[in-house]
Amino acid sequence: MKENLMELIQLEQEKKQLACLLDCNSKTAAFGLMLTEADAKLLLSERKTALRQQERLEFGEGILPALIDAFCDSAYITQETYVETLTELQDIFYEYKNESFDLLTDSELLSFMAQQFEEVCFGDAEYLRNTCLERFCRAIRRGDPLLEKERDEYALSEDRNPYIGLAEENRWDRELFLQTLQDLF
Amino acid sequence: MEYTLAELLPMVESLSRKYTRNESTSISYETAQQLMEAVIYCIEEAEHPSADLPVSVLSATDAYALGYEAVLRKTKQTAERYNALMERFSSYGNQAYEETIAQGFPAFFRWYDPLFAPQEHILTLDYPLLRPLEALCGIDRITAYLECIETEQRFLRCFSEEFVRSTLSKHHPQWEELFLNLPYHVLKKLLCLLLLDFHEEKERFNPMDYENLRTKLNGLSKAALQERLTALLRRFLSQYFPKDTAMEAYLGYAVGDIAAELWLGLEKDCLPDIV
Repeated sequence: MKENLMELIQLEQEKKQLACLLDCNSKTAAFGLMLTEADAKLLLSERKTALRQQERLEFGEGILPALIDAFCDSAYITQETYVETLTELQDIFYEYKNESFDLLTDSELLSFMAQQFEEVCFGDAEYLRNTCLERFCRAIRRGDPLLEKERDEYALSEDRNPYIGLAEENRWDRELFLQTLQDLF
Repeated sequence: MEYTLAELLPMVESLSRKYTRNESTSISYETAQQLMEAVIYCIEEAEHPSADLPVSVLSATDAYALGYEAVLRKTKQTAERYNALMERFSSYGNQAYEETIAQGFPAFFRWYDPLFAPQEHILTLDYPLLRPLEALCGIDRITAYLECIETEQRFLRCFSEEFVRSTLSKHHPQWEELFLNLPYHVLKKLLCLLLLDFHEEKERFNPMDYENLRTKLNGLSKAALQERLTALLRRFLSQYFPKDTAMEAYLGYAVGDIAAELWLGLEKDCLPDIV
């Protein structure tokens, strides 16, 4: 009897999660992104796998709605790549919750991921995983004082990209880049 | 009372929301295990006979809430007992005793987390006791440890500080730095004094005393020696600690080892190295 009850509770929870994901379509439709029921079920199934692999437990509606909210306006996500990108980002999210020793809140990690995905990684989730996030979480673990200041809600530093001091690649100077484009074309 | 996972999970979920301050939708398996252990610990506190609660008719949520209140109450009472102990506490110069009690315990009361980790007693409790406490954890272990220290202090106050220090220095010249149980060595000396019918403190035995001790121990089996020492201890306690069952129970843990040491000391003819 109690096992049936557990199964019923779980089924009910899954229905709620599915409904919650499909509700996100009302916001994402404005950006040309929609999830079908099959897409939502796939995402929930991938969520279970990711949680098991990362040895995490999730309560309530989970991170997917917030993830969709953070990335739906990305210039690098199209309807064709929507589900695949969400799956990858979800996986990255759980991995880096662990890598940051849970020192980052959900919104801090999501906000960093979204910013880097747009401004540094140009829509490349693998690049996000292997560079920005890896270095950022390393800095978080060692208690980088600069990042502490960044995370201070009174520091009013919303415009600054916290990854600036951590990047290890040489990047194009903007003026040089534009000049080179002009020369080429 | 057996509770199912279905009954315990909602409490773990509620604790995890508090733990993450609603800022994370997921927790690691390690954190989930810690929180589950916290829930079980509090429920077991409610089920403890001393709590005197009708747990057999309580839901898991109610048992947890009552158990958590019991943990808070116990922590407060233990803190009060600790403060009372420290008014007269003496480590007699032993560093482990001093550091564990005078420094370790305040750190415990500062860092103990009755909500998210009531099962953690935090301290390594390096100073060794006569009574094993490995089966206990959390505030229960700290409370039991403190009770043992209270008993030890009551026992040691029976003797002059000089007697205690000289007994320990006879055992080892660097006794101040060793992890040794102070009452054990004082009790061993006391029992030998009682065997020799001495009724006052004697800091050092002379060769005649060792000879008399050999005579007293000769012919006794280990079991018979243990019985003899137990009887002597009881007589001593009835005079100086009447009706102190905690003292008798605590010091009783040492009598077997003391009997074995003295018996071996006789066998190997090295009593002066033993006491």
